[in-house]
Amino acid sequence: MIAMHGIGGRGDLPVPLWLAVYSAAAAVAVSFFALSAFWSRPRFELTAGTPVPALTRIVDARPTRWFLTAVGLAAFALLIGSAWFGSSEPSLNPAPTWLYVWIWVGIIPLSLVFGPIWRLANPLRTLAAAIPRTSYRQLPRGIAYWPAVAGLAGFLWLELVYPEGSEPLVVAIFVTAYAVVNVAAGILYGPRWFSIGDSFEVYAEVLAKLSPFGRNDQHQLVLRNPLAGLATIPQEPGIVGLLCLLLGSTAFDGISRWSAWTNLTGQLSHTGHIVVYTLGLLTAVALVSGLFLLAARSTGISMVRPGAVGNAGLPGAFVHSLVPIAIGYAVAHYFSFALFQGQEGVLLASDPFGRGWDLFATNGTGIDYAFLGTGLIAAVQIGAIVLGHVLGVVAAHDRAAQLFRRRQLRRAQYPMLAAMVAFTAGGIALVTAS
Amino acid sequence: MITLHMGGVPELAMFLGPILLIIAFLRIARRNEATAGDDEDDWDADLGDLTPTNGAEPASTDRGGAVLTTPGRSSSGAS
Repeated sequence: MIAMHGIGGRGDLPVPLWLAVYSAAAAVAVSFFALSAFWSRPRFELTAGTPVPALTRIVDARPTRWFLTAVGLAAFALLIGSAWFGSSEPSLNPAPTWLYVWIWVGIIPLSLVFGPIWRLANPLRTLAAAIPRTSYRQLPRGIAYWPAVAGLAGFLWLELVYPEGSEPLVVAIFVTAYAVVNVAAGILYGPRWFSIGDSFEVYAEVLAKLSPFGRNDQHQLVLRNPLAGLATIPQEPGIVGLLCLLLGSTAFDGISRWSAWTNLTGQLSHTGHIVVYTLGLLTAVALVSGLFLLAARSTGISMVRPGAVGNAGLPGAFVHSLVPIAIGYAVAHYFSFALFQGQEGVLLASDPFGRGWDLFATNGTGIDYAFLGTGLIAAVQIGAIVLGHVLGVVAAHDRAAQLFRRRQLRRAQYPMLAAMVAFTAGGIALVTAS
Repeated sequence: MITLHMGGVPELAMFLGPILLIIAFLRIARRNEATAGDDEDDWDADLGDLTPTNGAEPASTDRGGAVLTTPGRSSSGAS
């Protein structure tokens, strides 16, 4: 099995662990009180982006769309081809690395930098669109985003719980099953399915909300404040579920690397491992969800502006603040892993089908572990978590400024501040403690 | 520098600095809240209005697109 993450240890920190945890939590608290002092009106809700017509023309041009579609299809064909027909050894087959590193981790910088680009290249959309239909079935009411949550739960279970999750055959079965289900649903329900049911597209679109690029009502590309884009995330229960699942699974990922956890679970049988890890994952997701829901609902003690809360109530109103936090955790967990294991994806791409090829003349080349110091890794990990939480606090405060009266604004947010500080301290402890 | 570290001065600064900053910001926030009159409240409790100020546009732009469209507010399909 591929070691999923390369996390820096406690010894990499330039300060004692308690001081790192304290400072990170304090940075979040200081940010909150600074906002309380100087930011009393909502800004992001009223911010428009600047249209970029030239870029819109390029992105919307037919050759660009064809190119992106072709890239998506080629990548999908390579992934599924190497998973089914490549080497059965995880260390010799690029498919697991492509799925868990290039796609799952790469989707983050891709969406943050280029905005909503995933759906343009999504091969499952292309395959579904290849079956022409004159009408589509209506999506069941209230289903929005829950299929994506279910798909994401399956993927995370495979990554974090199932011991053979990085076996090429397992990857092949998962990718095939995922593709068949989504393409079939796309044929049945139409393109709208992918916006609410395809986990990877929904995840990419949520991340893309924090991109400086977005679309306005006229479907023009705009350059905008990323936090203003973040404020437009749909207030739906499914989105709350998706982000709580992401945060909870990352928390479990950190816990499952603690020596205390591995000492306890190291001797378990195959079935025992699956049961205990599944329970651990569920517990972590339940704890994170419980904490966020409690904090968000507790803000409702203050009077909320009529009509300002959507389908998911107060948790939905604040759910967008979890996106930068989730990205911060993801960067902290995957930074070194992606840079080291990502190289393996290039090396293995030289022989994707296990035929002894050397397409890129990489034979004899290994992963370069020296270009990244442990101190830098630790700094990026802590910096990502703190920055993610500070942005989360800013996003939540701006929404609160819209929801609550000015005189209640600070006190109303204390429960959310407590949750953010707890997430920050917990996140630092998870990525640095061994 | 070594002497400072031996005496724990940087650690003390890292510990006390945020607390002092929080106290300062809290005082400013309380003063602002105390001086804000009732007429400065941003919305009408009956109507749910939030008056745009400083020439800000209504929250309608930057929400187009074809994805993440849901019936809730803030959900008209920004991408």
